[in-house]
Amino acid sequence: MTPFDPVALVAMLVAFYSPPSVPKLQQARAERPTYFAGGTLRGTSGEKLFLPDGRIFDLIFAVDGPVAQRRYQALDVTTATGDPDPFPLEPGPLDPLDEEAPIFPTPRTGEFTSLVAEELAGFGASDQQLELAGVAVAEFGGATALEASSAQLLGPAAEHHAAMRVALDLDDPAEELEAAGLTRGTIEAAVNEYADDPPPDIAEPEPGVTPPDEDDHGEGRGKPGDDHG
Amino acid sequence: MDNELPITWISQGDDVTPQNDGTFLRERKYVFRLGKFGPFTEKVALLNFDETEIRRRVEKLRTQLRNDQAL
Repeated sequence: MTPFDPVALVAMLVAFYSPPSVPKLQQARAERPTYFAGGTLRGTSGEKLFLPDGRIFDLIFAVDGPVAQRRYQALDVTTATGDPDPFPLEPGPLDPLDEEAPIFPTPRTGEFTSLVAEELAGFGASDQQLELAGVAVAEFGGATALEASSAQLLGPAAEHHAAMRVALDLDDPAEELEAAGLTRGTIEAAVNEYADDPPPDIAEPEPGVTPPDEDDHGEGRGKPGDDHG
Repeated sequence: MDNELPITWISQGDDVTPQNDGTFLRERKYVFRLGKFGPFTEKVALLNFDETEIRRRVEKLRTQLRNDQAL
């Protein structure tokens, strides 16, 4: 928001909105709002400017007097009014920024160096353990025995496996089936002749006729009009 | 007392303001200081733009400030 300059406001009012009057003041407020810095015109005649920061300025001298006596002014009457603010602002949870405080504090290089040194000192014991582990690995003497057992056991197994794969690739499954007597030259439609009698035909039920109940044998089922009596 | 009131331009640029009838008012916005006073904000309509209008307004304001200082 444009900062409020009472001198600039009065100069603008005199230059462009003379003679002084409340309607002219309201016109100026509407046409050149930046000079009023977000303030509002209130008061008994509407000649007082209430700024957002709480300051109050009387902008027209002798507003109720003759036109010849009126003139624009910017008289700070914040304390002269004596009217307490009916809606005073309460202190909020946020503090105003300290513009003098540095945004980026100067780096403290000494602290970083000391922090790194402390962390490295904490790894001292770990270095010793790592060194011992390296010696233990270097002193392991089972490599020769491991190679010998691998050549003795895994080598022949791999060769046997490869030979078996080659033999399987050379075998023809058809020959194996023929040797076992499981092959036929042609596929027969029926191995044995079907000799059973065909089942009797069942008459198709006529639609809409309820088939008789086998357990009922036709008894106890009469027409709705066949009443006993 | 600084009676010269030299002008210091803060910014100049075009400004568009929507109107109640749905149109837009296009203006050139000048923000400046006169001596230690201000900032002053003046807008000149771009329709039939007159480059001398802002100079006239500046002189009016400057004259008024000089009169106030003379009192």
